[in-house]
Amino acid sequence: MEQQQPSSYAQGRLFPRLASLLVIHAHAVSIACCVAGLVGLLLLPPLAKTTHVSENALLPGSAKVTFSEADALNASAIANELQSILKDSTNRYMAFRSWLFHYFDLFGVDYYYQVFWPPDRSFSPLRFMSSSYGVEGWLAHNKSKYSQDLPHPGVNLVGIVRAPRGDGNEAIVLVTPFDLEKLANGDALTLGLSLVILELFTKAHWLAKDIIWLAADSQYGAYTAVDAWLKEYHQLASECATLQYRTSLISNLKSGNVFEGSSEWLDDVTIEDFKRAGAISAGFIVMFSREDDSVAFDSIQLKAEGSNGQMPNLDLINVVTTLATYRQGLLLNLDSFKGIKSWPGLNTIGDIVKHLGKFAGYVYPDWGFALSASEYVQGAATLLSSIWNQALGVPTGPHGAFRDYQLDAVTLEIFSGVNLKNTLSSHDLLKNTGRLLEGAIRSVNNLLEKFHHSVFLYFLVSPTKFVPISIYGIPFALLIITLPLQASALCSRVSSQDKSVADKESTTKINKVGPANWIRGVQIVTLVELWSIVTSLMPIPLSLFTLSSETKIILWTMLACATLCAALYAFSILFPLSNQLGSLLQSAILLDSDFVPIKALTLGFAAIFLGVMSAVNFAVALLGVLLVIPMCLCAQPISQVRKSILTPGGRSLTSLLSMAGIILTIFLSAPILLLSGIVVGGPLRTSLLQLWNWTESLWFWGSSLYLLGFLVYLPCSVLCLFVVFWCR
Amino acid sequence: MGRRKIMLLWGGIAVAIALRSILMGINAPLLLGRSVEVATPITSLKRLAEGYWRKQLGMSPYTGGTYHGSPLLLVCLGHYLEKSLIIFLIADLSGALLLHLIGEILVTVNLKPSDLGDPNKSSLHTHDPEQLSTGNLAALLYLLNPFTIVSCVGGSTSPIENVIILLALYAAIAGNAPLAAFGWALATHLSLYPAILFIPVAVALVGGPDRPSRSLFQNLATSINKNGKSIDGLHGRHQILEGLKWQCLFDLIAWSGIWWLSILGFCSLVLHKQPNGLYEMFKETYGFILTVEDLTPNMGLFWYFFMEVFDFFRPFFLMVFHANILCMLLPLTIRLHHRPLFLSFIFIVVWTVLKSYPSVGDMALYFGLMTLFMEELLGFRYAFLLLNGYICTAILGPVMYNLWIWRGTGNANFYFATALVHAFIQIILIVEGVSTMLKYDRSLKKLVDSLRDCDAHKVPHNEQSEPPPPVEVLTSPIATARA
Repeated sequence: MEQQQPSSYAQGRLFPRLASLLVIHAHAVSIACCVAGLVGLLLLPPLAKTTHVSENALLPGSAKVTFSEADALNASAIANELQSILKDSTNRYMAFRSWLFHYFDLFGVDYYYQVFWPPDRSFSPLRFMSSSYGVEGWLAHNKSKYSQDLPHPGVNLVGIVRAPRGDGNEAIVLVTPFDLEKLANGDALTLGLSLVILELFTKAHWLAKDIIWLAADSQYGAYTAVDAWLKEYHQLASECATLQYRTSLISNLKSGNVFEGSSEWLDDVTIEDFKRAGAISAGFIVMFSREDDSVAFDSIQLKAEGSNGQMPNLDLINVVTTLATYRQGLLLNLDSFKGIKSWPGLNTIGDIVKHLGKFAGYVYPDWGFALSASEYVQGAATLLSSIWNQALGVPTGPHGAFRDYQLDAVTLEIFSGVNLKNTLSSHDLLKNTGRLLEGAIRSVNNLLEKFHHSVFLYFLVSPTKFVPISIYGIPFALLIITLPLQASALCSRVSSQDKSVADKESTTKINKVGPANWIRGVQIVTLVELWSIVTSLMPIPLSLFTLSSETKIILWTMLACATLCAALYAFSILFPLSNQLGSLLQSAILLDSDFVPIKALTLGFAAIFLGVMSAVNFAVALLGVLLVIPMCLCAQPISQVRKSILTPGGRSLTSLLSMAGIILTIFLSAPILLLSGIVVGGPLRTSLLQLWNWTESLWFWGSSLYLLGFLVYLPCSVLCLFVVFWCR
Repeated sequence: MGRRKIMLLWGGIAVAIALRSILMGINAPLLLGRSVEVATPITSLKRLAEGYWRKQLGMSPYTGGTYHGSPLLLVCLGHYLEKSLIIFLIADLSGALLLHLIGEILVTVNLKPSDLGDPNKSSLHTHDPEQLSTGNLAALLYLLNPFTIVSCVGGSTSPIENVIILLALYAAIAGNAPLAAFGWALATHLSLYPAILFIPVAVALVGGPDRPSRSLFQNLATSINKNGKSIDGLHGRHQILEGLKWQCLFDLIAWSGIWWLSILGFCSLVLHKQPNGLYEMFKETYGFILTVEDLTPNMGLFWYFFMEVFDFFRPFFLMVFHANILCMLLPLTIRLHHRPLFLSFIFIVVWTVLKSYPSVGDMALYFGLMTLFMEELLGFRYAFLLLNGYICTAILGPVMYNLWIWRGTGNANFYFATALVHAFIQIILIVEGVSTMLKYDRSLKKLVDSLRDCDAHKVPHNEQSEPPPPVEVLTSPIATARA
């Protein structure tokens, strides 16, 4: 075989020659690619670019801000008023609503309320990957469920400032979540702040877009409230199976417990009308953090990850960053994994990267970068959290609801460094936040088109540094290219073997052995893939029964194993290695190539799915690549390795390496990884419960991680184990 | 029939029906009916419902420019829209049945290397009762093909179009001119493109079903005659050497005329309330297909191009695009005239690439036909590439559409790039398919030539002695010819 190949690639045109050269040295090339890809991933923090506002129309910070000290005091006073009203009243909800409507009347803005119900969180087949599907599905689903026992509905309150210079075709949304059951000082303050800003906008002569203020009732989570409002906002008036349903429910409610007592506001007819204000340009969500004793300084945390790793346009973040950092002097930060900052390994890498930057600077001044080890560690922690949040596919806040409608939104979570009772410093914080919000909204108000200038696909390393897809795509491409490369190397190995066999027997180059083997490979791979899809759908019937979560997950696992065994058994009966095929296989093919088609096909479909996944949700694809590539590439039949170890005079180093590869494959495969996760995750019961809840939430959010797990990772690990243990 | 074979067959059919019912049960048609790959403006069931509603109101079904299908479909499907799955399921099952029948006919008339006694080319599916025959396999794969399943439950009328095309092909292969004319006329009426299938249908009727070229059989016959012995595989294939049946062509033309007249009669009956009903029908169906008025993105190549073309160039480029299909007809017909069914397979792939509104239904049809030639296409190169390519575009298309339309992070170029890759893969399929088939024919020819040569040499040599054992006669020259 080795003597033939040089002659086959030495002749012919350049491209095929290069290709065959690559295929022959596939092992070396793929090892080099893997190493380069991993190094590239580690170098992402220093390679990050500095952000800049791309859209010229935004002009952040160019206009004078009118939000003043007095406004901050006013906001504080309003918050105090709200607190005292709530303390005195018997019905907090009713009191809050009439208090807010009173202010709306005072400002002369349009206002209304919207009633909504929380969605069902269980597994239902239509929820998955169907954000565009519309509201009918879950309403129809919930109607039957809640017809007898209506839960407490959420009530969003909305005020709209009509722009004097606009034609009502565009709008900007400001969202303030509140929860009356556990209203903290911070919530009252943000409500006060938003009301003051709203009043400010009623007087703003420059306003070209309507301002919608949404006080989102977050008793079922802020996301649910914002999502329900956005759903109704974007629904056609004709799609009103829901409207009828809603009116009937509201008339139900009027007599019910929510609006008990007579109220002057309910006599107003228009208060129930769902009013709109044109296409939404951007959304800002402002909220106080609930875990507010952990920080030393006042700061604002920026959250932007939507469902399935969708990010708002970078320009929106740039506007907020520019205003907060350069004008208000606020400390802006991002979510980061704090735990890993103390890892010694990461610090060492940071040191190495620092020296590398210096060295690169010596070689060529433009290549150098000055990045201290601590900066590197901070950047890496932020980047990892950014990747993880995107990969999880669960929105990090109510801004995720906006992204489902192609709208850009960010959440500003305010961390107060001191107790909020200390009025002096809280005034300062309120003033700065108010000025920031006013500036950002004024900036977006200048916008002439949708956000489209800057990028949508990026990871944030710090508020002013980002990694665009053009940079992080390179290490990913280097990693994933190894899959098709190895697959083609395997294929060419088969065909060259076939050829040598063919030459020996002086038959034609068309031979039947290849196809027979390949058909079997295709059958097995298809079978495992189908099994995996069925497994991924098993929770739907399981969730119909009222079982405890632990039982469900154990049942799920057992069912999956049983189906796999049954499927393999039925397969071996239906498609036995019939005499003809079997004899062909044994006589004509070298013994080891039994596993080759299976492995090649596995590599092929893993490469396709991961490549497609990188378009859907890059972070998921990145995690998948890091897991699947070592697992798949190292898979090798254990019997072969054993044979080569036992043979005296064999190349011991190679066989030891392949043994290590097999161990790596086994440890990275799904069953082992899951088991170890359960063992590490604490007591059996709680970790099982956690696992079930986690899976359920992944399903609920339509996360691509679920797809990756069941379409790529699970079938790949089963096929790799198949290759390791059952193939010759 | 062995037990295993029965199990496989009925199990496969049961799985196919179950899959469709499950998909229907979880309301998949709602999602699938929205996807541009499944339902085109011509085949969409939603549009059909709209047309039916208008017809019930006494208006022309074509008012408003929503419906672009045949009036006959309105009558047949309109009442049963709720139960459409059952109709489409029956259509799929009868399509599979037709494929099975076609396969049976092909097996009886076709000549394979194994029939000529070439042991090196013994087929994968010989006459082992435990093995599925080609027809069975084609039927099963047609039923279980994901593209067929999706087009069946996806709210499009393509299963019906497919079954009528298959009917025309079956009748042509079976030599039944009236039925073939019926299938051809109806299929053409439903979606215009099957018009080009007139060529393979006529060729099949005149020259008989797929087989190696006639000259090969003549050579074979002379060698058999000289040798005075017959070859096992050739039993019952005397019709092979029959002359061309030109009568069938006249039958086909005459019957096509009759069927066309009756179809038009029915259509005008359905549209009797409208003035110029037939004219409007032609304008809204054929005119709509040819002028590509709807530029909604789809798997095809037209929408992107005609979105950009200046209005005054539009007629010219429309002609160029449509002429692409016509240009290929003659060369392909000349080259593959002895294999009419394969020719029609290639035609269908060609029109899937160059159609103005292609859908997965077309792919389902050509994959169904392709499985009939599994034996001949075993030497197919790039099979791994094509398999992965089809999987890739099948997933990437909807994903790119989603990124573009729903998420707003992609754009039209991404989606069109996927469509281009898809077209590229199909073109590879055409080119490689034709060349593999020709190669296969050539290898057959070589085999027969060597057979004849060896006989010519051997017969005078062994005149007095007994004829040698057949195995030796048949195998050794092959080896020498190949060496």
